[in-house]
Amino acid sequence: MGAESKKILSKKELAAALNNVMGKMDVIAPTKGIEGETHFQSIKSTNEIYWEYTHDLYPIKYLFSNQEEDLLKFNLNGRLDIKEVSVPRRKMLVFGIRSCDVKALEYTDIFYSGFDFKDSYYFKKRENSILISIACIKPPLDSCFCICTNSGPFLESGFDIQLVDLGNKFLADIGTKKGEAFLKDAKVKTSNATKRDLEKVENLKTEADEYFETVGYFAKGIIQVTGSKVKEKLWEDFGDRCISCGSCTHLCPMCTCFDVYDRIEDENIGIRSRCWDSCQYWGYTKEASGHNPRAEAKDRIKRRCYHKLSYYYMKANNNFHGCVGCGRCVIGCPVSLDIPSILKRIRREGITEAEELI
Amino acid sequence: MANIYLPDIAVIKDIIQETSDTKTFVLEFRDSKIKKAFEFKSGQFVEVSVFGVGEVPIGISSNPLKKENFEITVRAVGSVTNVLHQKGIGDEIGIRGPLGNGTFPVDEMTGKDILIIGGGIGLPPLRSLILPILDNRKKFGKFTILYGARTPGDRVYKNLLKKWSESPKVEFHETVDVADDGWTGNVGVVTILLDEIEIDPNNTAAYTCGPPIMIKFVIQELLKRGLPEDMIISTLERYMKCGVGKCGHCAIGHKYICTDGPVFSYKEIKALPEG
Ligand SMILES: Cc1cc2nc3c(=O)[nH]c(=O)nc-3n(C[C@H](O)[C@H](O)[C@H](O)COP(=O)(O)OP(=O)(O)OC[C@H]3O[C@@H](n4cnc5c(N)ncnc54)[C@H](O)[C@@H]3O)c2cc1C
Ligand code: SF4
Ligand code: SF4
Ligand code: FES
Repeated sequence: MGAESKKILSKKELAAALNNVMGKMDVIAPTKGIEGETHFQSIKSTNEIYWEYTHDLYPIKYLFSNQEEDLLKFNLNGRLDIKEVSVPRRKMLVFGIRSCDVKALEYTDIFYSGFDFKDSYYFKKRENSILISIACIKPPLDSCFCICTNSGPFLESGFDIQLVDLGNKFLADIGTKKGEAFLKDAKVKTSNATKRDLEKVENLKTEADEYFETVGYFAKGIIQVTGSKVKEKLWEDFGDRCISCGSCTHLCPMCTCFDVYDRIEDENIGIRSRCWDSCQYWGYTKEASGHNPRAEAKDRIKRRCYHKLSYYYMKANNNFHGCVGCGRCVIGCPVSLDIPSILKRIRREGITEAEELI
Repeated sequence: MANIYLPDIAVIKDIIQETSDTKTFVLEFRDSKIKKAFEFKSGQFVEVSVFGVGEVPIGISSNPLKKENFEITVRAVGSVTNVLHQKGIGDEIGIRGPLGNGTFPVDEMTGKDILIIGGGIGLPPLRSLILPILDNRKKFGKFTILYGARTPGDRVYKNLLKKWSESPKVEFHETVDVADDGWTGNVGVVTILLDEIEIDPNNTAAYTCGPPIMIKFVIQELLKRGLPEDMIISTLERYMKCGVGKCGHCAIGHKYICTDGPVFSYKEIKALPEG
């Protein structure tokens, strides 16, 4: 959408609008935890919003790809009958979602509709949701590196509305018809953005970019990983350190893997469910014969890096990196095998001998 | 929005005990509309649900040209397959599919010599290719099938193997890893059979399915005999959960075995990184 989709609204107006819609939909917003950390959760009033929020270590993906989710219900005796477990049809507004997390959902939309198979459980929730993001004027955390993965600090797409903080007012960049309809339905008074407002946004954008350390090794790392040019020795070293806890993948907004299992409710009813799974677990690829193509941690780390950093993977997924630079793995991995650290080491010591000769 | 995880219900119409741990199930959809609409290509698989236990990917082993029902041949190895083996005629199971976009290329190979190499429980998916080739025998050149099993008792489709060994339409050789008293045939791994046949490397399409280690050696031997990389066609097997490119388990590099495969040419397999 063009300049006409850029509106100005006062912060008071916005808060009033959010309070207005709370009866009609679930408003998810950043709140302050007991240790000062950020939690995105359902709020009852805008007074609960934590405005100095960072991002939530627990990824927003949980709203759409639940950590555990029932899929089917069936009877265990008599004539077989299988029913879909229905997805709650509640409307959801996610307020204050960060750019990286918006991008992650944009990617998941593509991934979960791939091969002409749409994951209906995910999309029923997505279709009922509105994303109002707030662009990052400063990196909320030291671990942020979205600038390297082209997923922030300001976005061009993926959001329904992107807000830019201009002091006592917001510039609202309306990205979709859904965003437009929301402002209308919530009866938000807006005015057109002036040339000065737009200039101010441009300046903020430039300033924001400068806050981020551009990490030159990122592109180099992608080349090395894509070309399988990383020394086996380095993978082994990573593998030796990894304790296969799965934190990196569970926290990662770009990780979508799940396991499926049946459970027995009572003597007549069974439920088929799914839950988050991790390619970093030993059993993830273990077949019934005992054959396990990724029995060693080094091969599992390689797998994770391949998903996050390979160019082929990007090509196969509408040019999305498998990483949006949210930095959650930086905080979450107990042995610092996060993507920036891995890349740094690949850059410094990972190249194969053949490469070194060049 | 269609639910991609919701199976259709199929009834077990017949069960054939192939070996001590392997059975063939003849299946028919309970709903006549689904039964009528069901079509598949050689090399495709289905996700088989045993409710209360789980779901497993199994290759379709019957002739795609046969319409009234379809078959799967399953070795009991773990939780789902063992409970499936306890099912009887008339019992109901769940089926999702057919799945897999990478299938055995057949029409493209018209006029070529066809060489099929199966190992153990790798023969069933290949049977969905062998049967239609036999039905259209004139469209192809020389037709050779090589089969290897662990022991004589582990040979599936014993009647069919006998028929093939007597048929003028196909050159058939088989071997077992370990013989027993009654066995008078070849002993050794399946690749030894390649020494018994003539291969025209410029006009042969080779298809293989079996345990990973067997596939590796078969491919090596075929390359040694000068077969081009895109004429060596193999299945890849990976732990699978969803079968529809979502759960991530079967991924190698940026390919998903369930949706990009499960059949690939060696040329494609070679290009897979991280494998
Ligand atoms: C494309 C394809 C075609 C296949 N065709 C046949 C066939 O025609 N006949 C046959 O007997 N077997 C076939 N298999 C292997 C069969 O899927 C496994 O033997 C089966 O999944 C074992 O499940 P289980 O629950 O009995 O064992 P468990 O060890 O209890 O396995 C638990 C779960 O792990 C997964 N799993 C374990 N082993 C495998 C495996 N080898 N491949 C995929 N997923 C696995 C499944 O999701 C299974 O539910 C095929 C596999 C694939 C990928
Ligand atoms: S790999 Fe790490 S930094 Fe990248 S998106 Fe995942 S959790 Fe965030
Ligand atoms: S968080 Fe770190 S230690 Fe845990 S599985 Fe991931 S890389 Fe390994
Ligand atoms: S089996 Fe789930 S992605 Fe292939």
